[in-house]
Order: sequence, then C-alpha cells, then structure tokens
Amino acid sequence: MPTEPHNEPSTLPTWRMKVLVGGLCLFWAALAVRLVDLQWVRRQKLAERASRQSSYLETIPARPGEIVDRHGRLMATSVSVRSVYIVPSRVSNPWQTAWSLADALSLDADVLYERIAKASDKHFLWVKRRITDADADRIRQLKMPSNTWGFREEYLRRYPQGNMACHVLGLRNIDGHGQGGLEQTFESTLRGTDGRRVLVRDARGRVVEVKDEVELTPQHGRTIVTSLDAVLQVYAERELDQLMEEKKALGATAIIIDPKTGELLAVASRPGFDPNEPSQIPDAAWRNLAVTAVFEPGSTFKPFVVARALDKGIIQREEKFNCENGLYRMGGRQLHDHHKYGMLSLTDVLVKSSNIGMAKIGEKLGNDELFDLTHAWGFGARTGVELPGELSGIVHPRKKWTSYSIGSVPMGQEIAVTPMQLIAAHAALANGGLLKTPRLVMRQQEVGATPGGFATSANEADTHVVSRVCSAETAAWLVREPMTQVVERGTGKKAKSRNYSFFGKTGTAQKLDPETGEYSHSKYIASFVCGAPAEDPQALVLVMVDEPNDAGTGFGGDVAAPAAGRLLQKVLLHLHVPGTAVRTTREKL
Amino acid sequence: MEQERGLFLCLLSVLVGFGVLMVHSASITSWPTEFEQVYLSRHLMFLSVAVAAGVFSAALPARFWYTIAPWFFWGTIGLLVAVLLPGVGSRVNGAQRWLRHSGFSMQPSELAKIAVPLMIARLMTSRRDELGGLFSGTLPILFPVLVAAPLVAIEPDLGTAVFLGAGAAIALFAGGWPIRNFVLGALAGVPAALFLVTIRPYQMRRITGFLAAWTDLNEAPYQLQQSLVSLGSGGPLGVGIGRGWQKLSFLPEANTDFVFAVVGEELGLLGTFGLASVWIGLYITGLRLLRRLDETGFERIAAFTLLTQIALQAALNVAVVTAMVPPKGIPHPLLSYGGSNLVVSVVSLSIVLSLSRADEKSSIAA
Repeated sequence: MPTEPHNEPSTLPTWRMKVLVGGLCLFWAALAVRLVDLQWVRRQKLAERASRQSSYLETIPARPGEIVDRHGRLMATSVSVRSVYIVPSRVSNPWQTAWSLADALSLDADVLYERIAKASDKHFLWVKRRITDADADRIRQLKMPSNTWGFREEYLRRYPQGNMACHVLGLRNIDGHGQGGLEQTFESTLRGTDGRRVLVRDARGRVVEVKDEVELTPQHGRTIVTSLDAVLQVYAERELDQLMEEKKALGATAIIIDPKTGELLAVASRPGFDPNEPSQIPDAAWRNLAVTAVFEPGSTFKPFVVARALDKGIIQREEKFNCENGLYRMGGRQLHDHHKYGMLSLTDVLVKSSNIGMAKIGEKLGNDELFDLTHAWGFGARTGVELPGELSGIVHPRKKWTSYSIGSVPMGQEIAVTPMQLIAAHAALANGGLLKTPRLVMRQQEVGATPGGFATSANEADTHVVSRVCSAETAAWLVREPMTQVVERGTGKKAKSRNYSFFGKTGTAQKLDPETGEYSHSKYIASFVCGAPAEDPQALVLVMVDEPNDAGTGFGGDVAAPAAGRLLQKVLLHLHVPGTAVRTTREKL
Repeated sequence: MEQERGLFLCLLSVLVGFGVLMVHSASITSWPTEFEQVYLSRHLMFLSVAVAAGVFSAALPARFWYTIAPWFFWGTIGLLVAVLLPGVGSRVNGAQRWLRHSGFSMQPSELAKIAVPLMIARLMTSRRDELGGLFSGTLPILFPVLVAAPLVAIEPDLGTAVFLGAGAAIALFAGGWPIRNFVLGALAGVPAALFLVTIRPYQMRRITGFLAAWTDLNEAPYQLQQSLVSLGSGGPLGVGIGRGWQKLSFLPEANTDFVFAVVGEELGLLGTFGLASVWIGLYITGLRLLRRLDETGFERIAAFTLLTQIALQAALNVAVVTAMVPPKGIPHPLLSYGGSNLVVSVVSLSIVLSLSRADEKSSIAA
C-alpha cells in the first residue's frame, strides 16, 4: 500500500492529467475532421476508385452482318463458337498445362509451352481460337483449376458456299478484320458496334456479380444485300474453271452485268480460294482480276472510237474505208491487218476487226478527240465499284501522246484497262449511251429486317449516271448492226446462240514481254464481251483469259468467245429472257 | 457513482457487442466458406474468457492490484523471456510473439500492457519522495519499461514496445514525474528513434509510403489505399452493415487491424462518429469514476493510465486506418478480432472499475 499521502501540492498531477485528457480529446477531434474529409468531402472520388477497382467492363461482341445475294441466299455468315484461353500468370505448372492442352486440342506441345512461358506474367493468352464442341469437352475433362482458364464466345465467319464469289466477298481474319472484297469495303457496316456490360470482380479477379443492366447494347452488323445472283455466279465460275483447265491459263475473269442498272450479277476471278481456309490461300489467288488485271483492250475498244466518230459526224454509218490490202504506212510506221482487206464498210471494219480501218478513223478524229473519248468512256479512272484494290488502268497524259497514238489507240493499244472498266463501258453502249457505275451492293439492312423485297430489281442505292457517252441512236446502231454481226459472221462467231440475238466484240492483246519490253508473240490476253438480246440488252458478259497456253491461238474469238457465249446463254435462260424469232428475219439479210 | 459505473459498463458492452458484429461482418470474403464462420465462434469464445476474467478482476478489491503489481510484472517478464526461447515461443511471420500450449495461445506482450503501468504506478506512489532525485527518481522508477519494452522490441514487435513506452510515459506524467526528466528523455530519445528508423530501410519505406497517402494515393501502400477507399466509399451513411464490398477481398486485415475501415464503409460517417463518441463517452465516464480518488495515489495513477492507454490505442488505430500516422500494427481495442487483445482490453477496463471502488479513505489511510 502507498506510504503516507504526500503533503506536496497535489494540484500538480491534476493539471497534468487534464493536459493528457485534453491532448487525447484533441487527437480524437483531429480524427473526426479527418473522417469528415474522407467520408464526406472526398467520398465521391474514393467511391469511384472503389467501383473502378472492382467493376470491369466486359465486351459483348456484336455479331458481324451477313452478306447475301440479291435473292437472299447466304454467302457469308457468322456462327457463335468457343475459344479457349488461359491465364498464364496463374498457371503453376506450364509444362504440364501445355502438354495436356496440346494433347486435347492436337496442338504442338513445345510451341504452346513456349507461348505460355513467354507470357508467364500475363493474364490472358489464347490457346486456340474457335474450337469445336468436341475440343471443348476434352478441355473440360482436363479439370484444370477454374481460375487458370476459360472459354470465350466468339463469332466465327463462315462462307457456306465455299469458294464461290471469294474475290467479291473477301474474308474476315481471325481478329475480325475484313481482308479483300466486300468484307474489307464494308468492314464497319458488317462489324457493328460491340456492347458492354459491367462485371464486379474481387481483388483476385474472380467475377462475383454480373450487373443486370447492360451498359451498352451491342449493335449487330448490318446485312449487305449484294446484286450478285448466286446461280449466275456459279455458272460463271464453272465456266472459268473449265477455261483454266482447258487453256492452262495464268488467270481468268468473268463479269456479268445488267447494263440498264449497272448491277453486277456475277464477278468471278481465277485462281480462286476458299475463304473458310484463310491459311491455305496462295498469294496469287488473292488478286481479283476483275478489278486488278490491267491489259490493252485491243479490239474491244474499237466500238467506242467509232461511236465518237459517228456522233461527231466525222464518219457516216454507210462510209467505206480502204483497208489497203493489209499494209498501211502511217508516217514511218507500218500497220498490218491479220487478213488483207480492200474496201470495207464501217460495219465490216468492226466485224473483221480491221486495224487499218480503225487507224484511218483515228486519223480523222485526231489525238485530242481520242484522248477525250478514252476518258469519257471511263478509262483511266476507277469505276467506283465497291471492291477494294481496284486499279484505274493506264491512260498516259495527253502530252505523252504521239503520232503513233493516232494509229494505236483506235485499235485498243497504248492504253490499258481493267475488265470492270471494259464491261462498264460496254454496258453504256448496250443501254443506249449512259455510262453507269457498276454496283455490287443493292442495300444494307438491319438484322432481322424482313427479307421481303430481296427479289426486287430496283436498286435502292442510287445508280450513278456518270455521263452520257454517246447518242442513243449511235449506241443502238453499234449494238444491233456491227456488234451483232461480229457474233453472226465475224471474230466472235464461236459465241453464236441459236435462240438469242447476241452482240459482242472480241479482244486480243499481246502482252508486253517483261524482258524485251516489246509485244510478245506467244503471250496474249484474250477477251470477249457479249450481250443479248440486241434489241433490248438484258445482260452483258465479259470473259477475259490471261495467257491461254493451249496449242491453238490466243485470240479472243477462239479462247474467250465460246465460254462467254455459253455463259450468256445460261444467263438469259436463268433470267427468263424470251428467245427471239428475230433471228430468222435477220438471217435473210 | 453507481450510475456512472453502470454507464461505464453499458458503454463497454456496446463496444464489445459492436465488436462481435463487426468481426463477423468483416470476416466474410468474396467466396464465403465455412471457414469464415470460425472467426465469429472463436471471437465469442475469446469474449467469454474476457468476460470471465473481467468480472473476476472487477470484483477484486483495489488494494489487490497494488499488492499483486510486482508479482504480475515479474511474471510477465518471465513469459516475455520464455517467448524468445527457441522451442517455447512460436514463430509466426518472422516474429516470435506467441506462446502456444495445447491449443491455447497468448501474447505475453499484451499482458505487459497491464503489468507495466501497474508497476510504474506502484513505484510512483511508493517512491514519491525520491521522484525528484537525479538517480533515485529515474532508473528505479523507469526499470519496468526499460526491461519490458526491449524484450518486446526484439520479438520483434516494435509497435507494442512503443506502445508500452507511451503507457509508461502517461503513468509518469500523470503521477508527477519531474518535467525536467521528460525534456531530457526527449532530447535523448528523439534522435535515437530517428536513427533507429533510418537504419532500417523497411521502416523508412513505411514512412514514405505513409506520406504518399497524402500526396498521391496511387503511390501509397496497397493497404492504406484500400483503407481510405473503404472509408470514402461508405460516405455519410454507409452501404449497410454486411454489405461492404471492400472487405470481401480488397481490404487486407479487414477483421483485425483495419476493422475500423469496414465500419466506415458499412456504416458511413454516422458509424465512425458514433463509434468515436462511444469511445470518448467511455473515457469521460471512466475519468469521472476516478475523480474522487487521490490524485497522487496508486489507484488514480494506475486507473488513469490504463483508461487513457485504451482510449489512446483506439485513437491510434483510427489514425493508422485514416493514414494520419505511419502504419503500425495496432488492433482496435474491443473491436478487432484477436483473443489476447480482447482479453487484455476487457481486463484493463475491469481493473479500472476495481480501482475506482477504492474509497478515499482506504486510499489515503492505507
């Protein structure tokens, strides 16, 4: 027990205790201020931080839109499939994991192990994208720790028609980017906009709650309705396959167009590929010759020159031209015809494809007119068709044109065109003189829109009338007279049809030999453009073959015309174009 | 008097009951398992031990504590030495703080929180005449803390060692130790403390991390970030008891040292202010119980020290949680999960009750 109570002033400790109590109360007061600061003044910022670290925005992928033909036949679609990923940072035994996953998915275990090891501090690694249900089952049976792996739903692009229209469609690569074709041109339309939803995660990243309200609803990709007719596309591709097989050609392309609207009914190119197997596409197959082949058009160009000369009144339909028995000197240059002709009517100049006759028309027109008409008919500029990588061909600047040009251009040399430009220009002839932009896409529509109206031929996208390139009378005369007779009795007679009045024009261009820089005598590009019925053209077909290598000639009339004729025949039947009795009257002529 | 004692007991019960609630709430994690139920049942078990010990201590006569102080003190020192012996003390996370025997474990350093103040209070009264002496007023008075604190510090448990020093200082200051000695102590102690901090890089990092909590929260230690975020996201009214997100996984030590942050998130400013009010109420009621005791007597000094110590511990814990002082492992008395802390806190306050019953007569006369 304490000793005697002290007599010392006992007030001393009292103030001391008061100081301590006061100090402690001040401490508590300071804490109270701090609490107000944290829980009132800064509460918003801190609460945001709390929700930021626990909530996570998950992307709800938008379903890519479909691509269909004009009748709604599916050409490209997307199906939902699973992809498997792992969380490398939580994988405790990478080798074991790699080995068992590789076994289940038939992958290379060493490669997978390398990938896991490289990403060992990462939280996400695709093991395999777009796996089958059987693969998924096998992975489940591995019973790996649930926080180290997972499935994610992804859309897999499928092309149900295989390699049909592959160049028009292009493909979507594994990350959903369009490569080539409409997939590339309309990437954003087809892609749509991904949605988002909020997940709440704990500190270890495990999802503890999925918020019900969707932050952002995904906007699924829109459907692209093309002008293609899948049946005609198949016809065209079969014809090309046969050509490639028979002629051992380097490549070939076929285009079918409705001359009245500019709608493309088929666009085919060879070599082709299967967009479902992107890894196995050879580089050469990516090229869509319909818009990237650049070649001298040769005789197929001649009607445009004649049309201008007629419209200008420089020549007359009945005029005759002296074809100089196959040899004509223009200054220091000698021109030859394949056959020797004397006097030829204008029609026959085209029917027999006389270069000398055309050169004389060129002399009458002069370079300025030739230059102008070349551009007017759409050459030297892209047509504007909805395909990526379209080339504009080659038309040299006016100042580079020489006296040679006067002879060369009228016979389709010195300039180079693409098949798309060529058929667009011929479509203008066939529709009465209006050059229209060739079109592949009729409309875009929302997912789930009624398919009604698929079959309508009306093009909702405005058909650009680029320009009137010749008078209707001249166009009609060229189609009905010289170009019809080209098929009747001229260079294109191998395309002749028994029940339709075909018209057309052959083209044979010698390729430039890359070694000598001169025209090659063995390498040709053969082309043929034909349409029908001559009285009211419903369809136009172009077939172009690059370097046909068969034993025969490389002439357009021999190589391309039979194929184009067969194709056009099928097109007309498919379109229910009535056959005509006109032929009998015409045969009397 | 009896009314105040009743109020004191009442406030104490509020804190203890609130502690049970918060320990249960704060122990839940994002993926609940049966294991988490263990915290509640263990806490209740500790609580029953604490209540039994508390009732027993409170019932003892005030003079008992004067008598027992030296025995208690040396007994505690014995345990503090034992805990350091290899094979006797258990090593947990690199610190030798626990005595374990047949499923029962305890921290002797927690006992020192009672033993040291009682011993110093006894010395302050028995050697009151010599307090002014240069030697006789220093070392003989200081030796309890000079022996106990280093033993705790080498466990290591620097937080508790500093806390023992603080308790001793409260007892010395309140008991009338000459101011001169405090000044001298500060002159010697502050540079020594600074030196100790700077030679230990991890202590230094703690300080800089603490400073970052005031400048750039992103640079602050994870635990402090989460603690402040928890408090802030509670706002004025809280998200509701049991509904806190932070405790589920983001906030470490949610049910022990950082239980106050959980209170802040779930009950908001209202809850934290309420809790602080109960603490201040308990403190003031306790002080009123002591006011009739002789200011220089053992009972007054010992009870004042124990009471102030608990209130200080609560304040320090809140200060750590709100990043007002550098982080130190200080549990919130009566609220945090943990047996030793709960028992010692309850017993401390029970001793205050016991001491308060010493009537002036006995205190003065004996």
